[in-house]
Amino acid sequence: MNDREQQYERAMLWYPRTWRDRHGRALMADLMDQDDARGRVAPSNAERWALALHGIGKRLSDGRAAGIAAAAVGAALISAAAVGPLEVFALLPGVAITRFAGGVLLGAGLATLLLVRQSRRRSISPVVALLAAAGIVFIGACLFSLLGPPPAGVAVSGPAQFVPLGWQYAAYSTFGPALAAAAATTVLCTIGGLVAFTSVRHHARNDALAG
Amino acid sequence: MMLQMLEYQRVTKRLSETEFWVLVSLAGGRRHGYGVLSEVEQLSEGTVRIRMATLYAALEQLASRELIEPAGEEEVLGRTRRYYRLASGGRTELSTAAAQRAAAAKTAETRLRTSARPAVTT
Repeated sequence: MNDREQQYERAMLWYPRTWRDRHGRALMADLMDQDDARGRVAPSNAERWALALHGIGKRLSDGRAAGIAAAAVGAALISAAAVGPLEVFALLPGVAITRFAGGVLLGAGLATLLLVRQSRRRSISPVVALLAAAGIVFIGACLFSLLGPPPAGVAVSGPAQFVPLGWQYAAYSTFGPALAAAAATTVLCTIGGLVAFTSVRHHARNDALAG
Repeated sequence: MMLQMLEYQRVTKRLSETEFWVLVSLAGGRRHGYGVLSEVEQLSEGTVRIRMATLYAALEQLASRELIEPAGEEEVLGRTRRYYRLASGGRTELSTAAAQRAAAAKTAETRLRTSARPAVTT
C-alpha cells in the first residue's frame, strides 16, 4: 500500500467500520482513478474534509453514535449513583479523590463491557471506542465527585466551573494545584498514548488485511 | 406509523441536484464511481462538481430507493471498480424529473419574454 492510499485509509476512518467493509475498496479505487486522471499525487484537503464530513454524517445517521452517547450518559449516571456506598471511605484523607477513583473504576468497567461488545460487532473502530470509553469514565467520575459537598478550602470559579469541575474538586483537595496539574498531565498522556497505540495497531491490521 | 411515514418520505423524496445528474449519467449505460463523476462534470458543462464522498452518499441513497442497482465489479490496475446501472424505477424517476425541469424552464422563459417589454414609467 502506498502513501496516498494510506492517507485515504486514514481519511476513511471517519466512516463506520461496516460501511468501510462494504464500500471501502470501491471508494479507494474511484479516488485513485480520480487522482490519476487529475494528476494528483496526494489527497486534496477538500476531498479529505468531504470524507470526514460524510463519514461523521454516516455514523450519526446509523444511530450508533446516538446509541453510544445515550450509553455514555447512562453509564455515567449509573457509576455516579452506584458509588454512593463508598462514602465509607470518607474517613480516609482525600475523600473527593476516593470518590473520583470509585467513579473511574465503575465507569471503566461499564464502558469497557459496552464498548468491547460494540467493537466486536465491528460497528465502531477501536480508536472511537477508546475515546468514547475515556469520555464515559471522565464524565462519570466528574459527576460522582460532584455528588458530595465541595472540599473545604477549594474555591471554584471562572472556567473551572465547566466539565472538569468534579475532577478539580478531587485533585485540588488532595494534592494542591501543582500536583493536580501533574496528575492531569499524566492522565491525558496515558489516554493519548493508549489512543495512539490502538490507532497504530488498527492501521497495522488494516495494512495486513490489504496485503 | 412513524416508520411508515419515514418510508413514504424516503420513496417519494425529490431528487437532489447530485442525484439527478448521477441518474442522467447512468442513463447512458453502466458506469463506475469515477466514470459517473467525470461524466457529470462534462455533461453539466462544469456547472456541477461532485466530491467523491458526496457521490457515494448519492449512490447509496439512489440504491436504497431502488433507482439504481449494482452492475458488477472489475479489477483494473489492482483496483476494484464497482459499477452501477439505472434500474427501471430510476428510468421513470429521471423522466419525471426531466419533465418537471422542462416545465419549470418553460415557465421561466415565458415569464422572461413577457417581462422583456419595456416597463411603463409614469
